[in-house]
Amino acid sequence: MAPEPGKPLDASELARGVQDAALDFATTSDLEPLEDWPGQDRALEALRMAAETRFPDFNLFVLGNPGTGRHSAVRAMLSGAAEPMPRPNDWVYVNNFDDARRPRAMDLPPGRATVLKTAVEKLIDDLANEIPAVFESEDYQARRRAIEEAYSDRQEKAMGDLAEKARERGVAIMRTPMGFGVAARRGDEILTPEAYHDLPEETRERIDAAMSEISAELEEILKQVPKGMKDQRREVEALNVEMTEQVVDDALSEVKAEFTGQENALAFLEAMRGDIIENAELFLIREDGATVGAFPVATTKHYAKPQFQRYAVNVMVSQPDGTNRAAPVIEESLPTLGNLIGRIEYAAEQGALVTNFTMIRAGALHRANGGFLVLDARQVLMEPFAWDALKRVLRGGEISIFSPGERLSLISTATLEPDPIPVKLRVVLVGERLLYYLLTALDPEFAKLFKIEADFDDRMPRDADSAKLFARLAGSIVRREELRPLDAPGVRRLLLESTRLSDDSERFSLNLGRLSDILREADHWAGSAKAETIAAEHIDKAIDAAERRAGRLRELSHEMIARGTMMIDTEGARVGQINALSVLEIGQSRFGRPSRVSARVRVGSGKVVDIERETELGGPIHSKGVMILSGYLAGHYAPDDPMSLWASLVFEQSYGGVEGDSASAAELFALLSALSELPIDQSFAVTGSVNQFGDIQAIGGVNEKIEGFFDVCAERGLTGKQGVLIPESNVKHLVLRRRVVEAVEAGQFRVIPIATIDQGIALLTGREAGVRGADGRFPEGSVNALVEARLQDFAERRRAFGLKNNGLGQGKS
Amino acid sequence: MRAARVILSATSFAEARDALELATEIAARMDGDLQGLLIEQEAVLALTGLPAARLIGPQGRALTGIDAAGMEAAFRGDARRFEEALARAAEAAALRWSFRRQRGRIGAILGGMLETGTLLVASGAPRRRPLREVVLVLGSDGGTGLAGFAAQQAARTSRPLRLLLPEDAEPPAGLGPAVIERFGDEADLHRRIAALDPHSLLLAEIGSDTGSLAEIAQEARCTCILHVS
Repeated sequence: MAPEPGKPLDASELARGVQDAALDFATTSDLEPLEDWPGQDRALEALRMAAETRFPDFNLFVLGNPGTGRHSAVRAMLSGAAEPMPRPNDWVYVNNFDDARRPRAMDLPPGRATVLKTAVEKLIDDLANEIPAVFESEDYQARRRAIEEAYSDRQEKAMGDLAEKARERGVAIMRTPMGFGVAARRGDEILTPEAYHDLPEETRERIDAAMSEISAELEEILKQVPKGMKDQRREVEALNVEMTEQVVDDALSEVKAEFTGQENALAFLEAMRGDIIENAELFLIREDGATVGAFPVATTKHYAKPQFQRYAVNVMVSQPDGTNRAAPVIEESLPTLGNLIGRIEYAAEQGALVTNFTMIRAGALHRANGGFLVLDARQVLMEPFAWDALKRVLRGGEISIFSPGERLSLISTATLEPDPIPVKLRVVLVGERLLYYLLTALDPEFAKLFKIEADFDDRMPRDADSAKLFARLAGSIVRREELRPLDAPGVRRLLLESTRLSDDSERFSLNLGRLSDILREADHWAGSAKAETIAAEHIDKAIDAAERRAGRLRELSHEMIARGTMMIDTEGARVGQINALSVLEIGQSRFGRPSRVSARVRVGSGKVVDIERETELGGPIHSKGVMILSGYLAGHYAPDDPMSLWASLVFEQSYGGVEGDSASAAELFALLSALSELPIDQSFAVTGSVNQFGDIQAIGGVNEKIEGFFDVCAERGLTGKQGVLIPESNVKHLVLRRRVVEAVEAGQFRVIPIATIDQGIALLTGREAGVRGADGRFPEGSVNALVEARLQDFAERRRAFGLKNNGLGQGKS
Repeated sequence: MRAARVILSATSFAEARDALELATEIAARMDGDLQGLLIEQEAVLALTGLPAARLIGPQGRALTGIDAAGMEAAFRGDARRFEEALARAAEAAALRWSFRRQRGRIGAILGGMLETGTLLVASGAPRRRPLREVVLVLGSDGGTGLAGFAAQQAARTSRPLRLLLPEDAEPPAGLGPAVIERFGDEADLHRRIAALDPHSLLLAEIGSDTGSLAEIAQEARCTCILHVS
């Protein structure tokens, strides 16, 4: 039966729960686990769409309140979607032999990166043994010697022939500190100047000619030495290349065979071949000592030596072999810039920072490439540069690694410019609604890159079917958390609490996190009681315990009222004073409490003074509420007279600020009481907002507000007259605690819905409100009549005051 | 075998540099003092005053305007570099060392320096060129102290060892593989030595005939290690 405004509600309407649901099972163990997320069809459809579509800009934002199963739904849906998707390729970075600052990115079939890395390491190990062996071999030594001896012999022959010729021509060639000296000789002695001058001219000329000739030849021979050395070097180098090529090609052929058809790998191996041959001397660098510890040199990990680092394969992402894993689903819990796009590491060497391609590290975007990446939106936005980098990757379709220090020119050191890696993935951001709306409003790129939103609802309609689904959901939770099963009354109690959490008796809350918390605590209490199942009493205990833990501030507030520090009347009557209700939400604590609202009136210029607003303690919504009730007064009473009221409204003993319009009905009642001079019954508290037509509108927190006033009354002793007037439209939101329900059942307390101001003022003053008749007047003695008469009186007085001041009043000429 | 002193003789720093490593090795092995000797040949000094004499640099360029003072300065420079290199090598090998310059004729100077227990290292062709062979000359009355060193050098460089013996001498035991040749008289020996490839290493141990050794040092175009036993 629909509730009747102005009539107290029956106890059965205060916490309807799911009495109508047929929960025909003993415990949740009898129920099929629910793998789905009830009430989230809209969000799940969006998730599915994002997971299956191929468009790169259809990234997903999952919004909703925490605890609604966003993360678990995302994980499950994406894992399911990833299953049939192909495994993405492996990615590696290898040295760019032409420019070490620009490492090459290379993709390989899944699982092949580590194979390539291992194969190259083995190749280097083999060559580290084989190349030195080649250069130590008899064959190489002999061939090299032959080259060197050939040049040496040519040189020596030339010198020897020249020396012989010089001897025959009577010329001596001597070594000097400056090179060579050529002089005339006689026998074994150098010809002295005197002896020279004593020679016949002809002989001297002959000797001079011989010396010139020998000198010229010597000069020519010496000039040929550098060329000869160069030619010799060239020949030796060619020999080295020939010997190295043989060894390298033999070793490389095995590796190439493993990568037949993989052009990327083959191209790299070919480039590596060229570099090894060009830098064969790297393989000839020997450490001191022929052994390393107890192991013979042949088994040393040569590939780990610094000189061979240039041939390493830096595996960025690899899909392990031998598993059936499909596309990756990666959740990055710390989305810093480096964790997202990867980083380039540096090492300190002699006071400088150095790096190379082996120090490039993969980020979450690399690991998720080809699959899905799940991020917490708030964390991404909080990390410096992370959001910008993520958008850049999604926009450009590739990952470029950079360092923020270098980007801001904070550090200046040799760095790398690795090839960007093309990326194809779906990014899923999980966050609160406010973040989604802010991003949509303020970041023009966001809407272009995140075209799908999965909006997780907070609640779902309560009916018999959804109750059964909910029971299965509870069963799934207890199974997952390894708790005791829930019995049917326990499920019913949980369902009731679920409606309380949603602030609506017709809606189940989908805050799975909170429900899980209740169940886990209830399981604890069940364990303490040595029970096999979680019963309704354990649920109650969990809820009560949680409220008690968070209840210090509530108790403090009530204590102030109980001790008279905060002045609240719960009996008697007073003109212009009423109990309004408000909800305080601090941390985990949410409770209602009464506040005294008072109104004073006198003749004035039509102003309703909101003292909260005047003192800047009132928020805009509260001010709006006060202005609305002013509008009601102006529209409802003495329409032909100027509004000549001065009124002031205040929340007594309130110093912390007032917001919201849920007390505007109470404020209007106080004003009407002051105008009509009819006292208001202080047994009542009122909550509700009013519009300019006097309709009472719904407000929030109705349960806490009622309980707040009830607790104050219960503390002083219930009289049976006390109660709360609430908007009729809030009846469906009632899920009151048992103590209130029991008191109502016992006739000790009342909850009365009202739809209009007239209904409310009648209850509060005990006087009929009155409806304007055909003659335009309210019934005599009715509240409205008294109010209108007062306002008309104010208008008259004001008019008289005005005439008097203008000299047009009585007694003046 | 012990040698009281090892003399590294050279007519220029370039010669000395090439043989310094060998001389240091021998001095360390023989537990002797390392002595450097730069012989400033009179004939070289006289070159600058000789009509029509030519000076040619190591790169094949004719050098002009060099006078006696310039040549003296060049010798002084060579002496300084020789001494510095000698000091470094000796200190690294923990050897006692000394250095001197002497002006005159090679044969006379060497003849005067060689005495029993002296080992002379005289540089020939640059040692950086590959070694062709190791040649060991033993006299009928000389010791065999250099034999082991010769065999070691041959083995280390994987080059053949040639042993020159007089007709009536027996090769020392335990020498290892070697080609044995016999020479008739001293003249024959000197001819064979003069014909040696400049890239050989000659080791000679011939009794107390220092004059003979001095001649060998002049005639040989290769690096010599000569021991007066």
